[in-house]
This record gives sequence, C-alpha cells and structure tokens, in this order.
Amino acid sequence: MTPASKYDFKRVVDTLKSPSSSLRELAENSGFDVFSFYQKADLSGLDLSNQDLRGLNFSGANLKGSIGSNFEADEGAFNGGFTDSDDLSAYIDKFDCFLDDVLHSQAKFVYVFTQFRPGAIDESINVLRTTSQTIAEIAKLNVATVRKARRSQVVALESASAIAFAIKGLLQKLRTAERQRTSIVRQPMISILELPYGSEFRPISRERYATVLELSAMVNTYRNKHRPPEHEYLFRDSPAMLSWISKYYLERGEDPGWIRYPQRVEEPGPLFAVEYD
Amino acid sequence: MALSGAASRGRSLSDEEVLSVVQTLPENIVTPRPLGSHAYSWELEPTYRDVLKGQPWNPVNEARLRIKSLTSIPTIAPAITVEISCDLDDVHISDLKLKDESLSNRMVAAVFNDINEAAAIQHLKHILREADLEPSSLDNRFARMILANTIATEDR
Repeated sequence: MTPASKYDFKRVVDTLKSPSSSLRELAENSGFDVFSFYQKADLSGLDLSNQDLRGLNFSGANLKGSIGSNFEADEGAFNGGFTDSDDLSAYIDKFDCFLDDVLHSQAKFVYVFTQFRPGAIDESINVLRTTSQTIAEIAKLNVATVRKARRSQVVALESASAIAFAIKGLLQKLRTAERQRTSIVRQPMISILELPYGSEFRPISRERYATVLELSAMVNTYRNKHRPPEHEYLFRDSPAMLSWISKYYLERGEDPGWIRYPQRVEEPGPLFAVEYD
Repeated sequence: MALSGAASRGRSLSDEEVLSVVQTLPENIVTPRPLGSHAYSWELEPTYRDVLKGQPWNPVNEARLRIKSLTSIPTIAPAITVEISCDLDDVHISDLKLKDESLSNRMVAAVFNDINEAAAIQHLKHILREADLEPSSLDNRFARMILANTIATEDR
C-alpha cells in the first residue's frame, strides 16, 4: 500500500491520532519540508519540555504562553518567533537573518554591514566537509576575509553575500541523505548592522532590514524615473537616510502615487528655512 | 368527505413545498487598492451583512464582476487573480459531526499541550498554502481567510 499523498487529509488525521508528541517526528511524517514546517505556526500554550527540536525553525511562529525546559534546538531556531517565556527567549539572539537575506538583489544599494554568528561558519564548514580556502575560492574572496567573517568580525555585505552564495552552492552539491543533518546551515546566522553617522555599528532587526530594502527599491525607482542615475553604483543610502528620503519625497505630495501617476515633481527645497526679520 | 379520504390513502404524496425567498441584494462597495508599484487590485465588499444561506444569486445571469481588459488577458505571470476572502469570525460551520469516535476521547483528554493538534493545524495550513490560499495566522477571530482563488480567463 502506497503512503497517502501529503495533501491527503488522512495524513492530518494520522498526525492527530499519532501516539508520538514529538514536534520533529510529526513534521517528518507530514511529508512537507521539515525545516520550514513550523514557520508561522500557532504554537501558543504548549509545553516543549524534553523535545528534540534540532532541524526545525520557528521563524514567525506564535510561541506565546509556551514553556519548556531540557529541550534541544539549533542556535537561532527561535529567531523571528514571538514568545513571552524566559525559557525560549534565551534562545533568541541578534543574528536573525538567513543566508538568502543577504543575497537579495536590492541589498547592494544599501549601506549596511554584516556579522556572522560566532561559530556559524565553523559549523557550516564542518557539516559541509569543506575548508575556508574552498569557500574563499568559490566566493572569489581573500581567505583572510572568510577568516574574518569566521571570527565574527564585521564584514561588508558583499563579502557576506559571496560567502552565503558559496555555502548554498556547497549545500546543493550534497546528496539528499547527507542534506538532512545540514539544517544548521539553513538556520539564521547573520546580523545586519548599520553605521550611523558619528556612531558605532548598531544591529538592525530583520524586519527593519526588509523595510530598508523595500524603501531602497522605491527610492531607486523614483530616481531612475525622475533624474539620471548618476550615483547609482557610487553612492549608497544608509537606513536612516532612506527613511528621510522616503519621508521627504514620497510623503510630501497629497497623492502618494509617485509611480502610478507620473507627474512633475518640484525640486526639493532647502532643508532649513532661515527667516530674517 | 369520508369517501374522498379513503380514496386518497393509497396515493403517495407527490407535492413538495418549496419555499423561495426572493430578495434584492444591496450593491457592493468597490475600493481600488494598489498592490505594490506595478499592480492594481479592487476590493468588492458586499453591503449585505446578514448570514448568507444557499446560493445568493445566479452567477451566470447576474454576474457580480466583469473584467474588461484592453488587451488580451495573459495566461502566465501578470494574470488577473480573483480571490474571495472573509474574516475568520464570519465563517459559521454549524453541522460538524465526529466521524471517528476514538478521536473525541483524545480531544477531551488533551486540553492543554496538544502538540499533535498544533502540528495538524500547521499541516492543513501547508496544504492551503500550496493551493495558493495563503492562510494568515488563524489564532484570532479577525484573521483574514481566503476561501477561493481563481485566475480570470477570457470569455469567448
């Protein structure tokens, strides 16, 4: 007898009747991707004690009211989840971006920096059975840069995206059987940092980073439409600058439809108006 | 009177009472909503606020929405999608019955810490998501729920 398709409701009833109450086993039996099975799930009010949660990711999951002790989870598995319990919030750190996030096509237009979680690249190298030399070759980076990222020092976003590209490429090459224990590589491991004027590096959240990318796309579309892209590859907008530009340009007129209804836009006036008596 | 009653006893009842309520539905509110920078969407909200029972209108003769495209409608990516959605609060399912009695014991027993129930709900969400019926977080009663999703094709 062939097992039911993963879209069959019999599978759902099987999950409900299953004697096992291990989140990981239930996800494995479902037929869907185990890693992303509990993303955006409603897991409120559960007791996660003594569970083996390795290989699962809870990004966007509602974990309010859930408690747990003595459970095992990958580092960063709860990043992006919503929790109010000390047991689980201890697992949340600032390295909340996935490898895919730094490979975003808009990321090169934003003035941000990156930092890998201490030990994340070590772990990836270990799991993928490779060396930092190989990663540097695939990423076309200097080995020193890879080592710098490995030491969890601040690197440019290009370096991070090159390393992410290399790690994802090596992950693809692995056989399916080997890929099962590589969930640690898929967990979030990168922190995005902004460098405000006259200040130090400051981490920004993944939500803020997504907003910044969206703002950058809007501002770039606006610029390409209304003025020649002079500084397209020379100048990058910082997150604070993007907020200011979007506020100044996009929220100025009554009609926010600055792309849908092309209209003549005034040149921006001076920032501060000086009034004389 | 008595004779006629005896004569009709053998006959089976063939008449059936059909009660049809005819009511004019009020008009819909149409709100244009831009979807990002390169897409449009319109939201049609009925002003009829009561519970709908049965088929409210004839979909062929009294269509609610006709799309007139200036060019031919593309069948791939930038196609026209029609979605029917409502709030989770507005769905009334009144005739639920348990088919499997062994489940009811389990459900009563596990009031707190039902990991299996959370996993089953998540499984259903994945099925919905792969059918392009993007479920939001269904943990509050104001959550948006997509009931149907279709792609408009050209009427020949």
